[in-house]
Amino acid sequence: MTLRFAVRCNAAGIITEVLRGAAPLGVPFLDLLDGGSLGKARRFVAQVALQGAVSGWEFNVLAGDSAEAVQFTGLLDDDGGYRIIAANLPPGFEQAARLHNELVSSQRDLGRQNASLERVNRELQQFAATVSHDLRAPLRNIRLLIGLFESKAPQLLDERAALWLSHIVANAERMQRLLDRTLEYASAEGAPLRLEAVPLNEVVDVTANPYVTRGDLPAVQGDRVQLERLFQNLFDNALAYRREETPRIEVHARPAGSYWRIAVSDNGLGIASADQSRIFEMFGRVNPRGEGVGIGLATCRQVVHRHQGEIWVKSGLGEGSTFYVTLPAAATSPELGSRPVDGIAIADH
Amino acid sequence: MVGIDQSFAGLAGGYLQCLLSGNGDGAWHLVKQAMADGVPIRDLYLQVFQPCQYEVGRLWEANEATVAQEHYCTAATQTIMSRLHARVFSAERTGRSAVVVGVGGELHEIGARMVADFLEMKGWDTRYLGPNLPPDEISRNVIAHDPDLVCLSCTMTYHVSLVEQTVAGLREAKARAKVLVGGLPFNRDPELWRRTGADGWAPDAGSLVDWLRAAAW
Repeated sequence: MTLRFAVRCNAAGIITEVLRGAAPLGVPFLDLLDGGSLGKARRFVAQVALQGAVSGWEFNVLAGDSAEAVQFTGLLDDDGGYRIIAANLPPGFEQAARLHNELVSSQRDLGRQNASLERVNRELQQFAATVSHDLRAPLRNIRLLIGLFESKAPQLLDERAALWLSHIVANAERMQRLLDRTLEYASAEGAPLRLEAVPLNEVVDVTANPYVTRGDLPAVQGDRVQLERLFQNLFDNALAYRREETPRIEVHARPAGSYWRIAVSDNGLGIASADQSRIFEMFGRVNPRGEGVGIGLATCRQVVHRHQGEIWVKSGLGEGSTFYVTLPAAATSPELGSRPVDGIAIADH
Repeated sequence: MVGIDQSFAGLAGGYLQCLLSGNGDGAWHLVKQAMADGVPIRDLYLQVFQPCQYEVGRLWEANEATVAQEHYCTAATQTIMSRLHARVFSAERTGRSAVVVGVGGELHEIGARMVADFLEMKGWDTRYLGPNLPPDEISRNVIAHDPDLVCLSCTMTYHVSLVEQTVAGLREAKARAKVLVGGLPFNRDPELWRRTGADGWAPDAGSLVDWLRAAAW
């Protein structure tokens, strides 16, 4: 602390001598203070008179058109007057408080923006869910009517008309898949996660996919329904982009801190490195002729992110693909001794 | 502590003790527990944060707390308030908007922040401009964003004239918004707000939203 001023006052509290620093002569000492400090300052003066010496009292001293907190010491003189020593508080106090205020203001702005983004996101999900749900009914009717046409009135169809009708059926089926997946994506985001220890062996086996082989897989902390959706979508994706030869999909796991890293490898077409960044986006299809509708991997990413994990791919054209997924180890997983926080283990990478 | 519902006295007392002993984590823990027990945010603000701020001010007046402790308590409470933002900002929007602003570069921003947060909890869109804008900048900002309401806050008596200038500037710029003032000087003298040319005065964030409800806003 640095000395601000030292003055001598008479018994009436008027400044009669400036010992150090700058202070006005002939005015009441109390006039130097902000109105909010006057009551406290009167008690200070009374304490000086009573005890002879007091220190460490803080008042707001007027400085231009504002005020600063200053620390005061008072010493009683023999004639009933007193000396007052005023010391500035370390400047860091106020600067730290201002910096903190700025920080809180930016947090507030971020909080508002975040809330507004969440609102927009919710509305979009709601929109996607409503649209895909409502579009399914007329589509069902279209498929039903085509079926009627084929079964009840085949004599009306020549070869060309039958071919066109089969194209209409194929497109209607494709649209059905697209709507199902959109609805699945939109509803998964809003559904609450029911976290429990889920053995991945069971999750993979339940898909009953004849092309899948797996190592011994661990249990992860997750939502069983969503994890099943994750692996189902990864397997569907591998089959949608298979090569001529028999498809082969392998699933293995290895520990990664308090997470497990699961690898899903296939012997399919593979993905060019330039395309790998967008395959996880909605409708981010690389091969428009493939069977996929461009939502499956977006759903995978959504499920993995909701489990605080990551998903990425290693691949090259003609080399097959390996999708990597990290998922938090089950809270009770003895292999890793992970320490779960609020139901979700925290990554140590 | 004065002015609080006795059912919150234990929580508010524990919270204050944590802050005075520099234990911000302990204070946050108490708030988290209270929320888990179903205490609404409005009560946390009005029955815990606000009376604790007043109490720290009273302790400073009584020479039982230092400026450093006061800054710490304010900073810790503001941090805790920002941890509640996800809930504060989640209300259904009403289409109303407000600008909340302090004057004179004052360090005491917590009251104005509470006002902004209470408006958000009522579904208003708020813009908090901080305490550093001069009156003409405030006018420019208000004209640009055309809010329904402007809340002006000041803590130091010597800044009441700045509030007056700001209100005059807003009137001159023909701002459409109603102007309310608040802060310690107006609480000490309930007639003082009339001198500023404002449309009204509210002693705290809770009274402000009650006033708005009564005015059918």
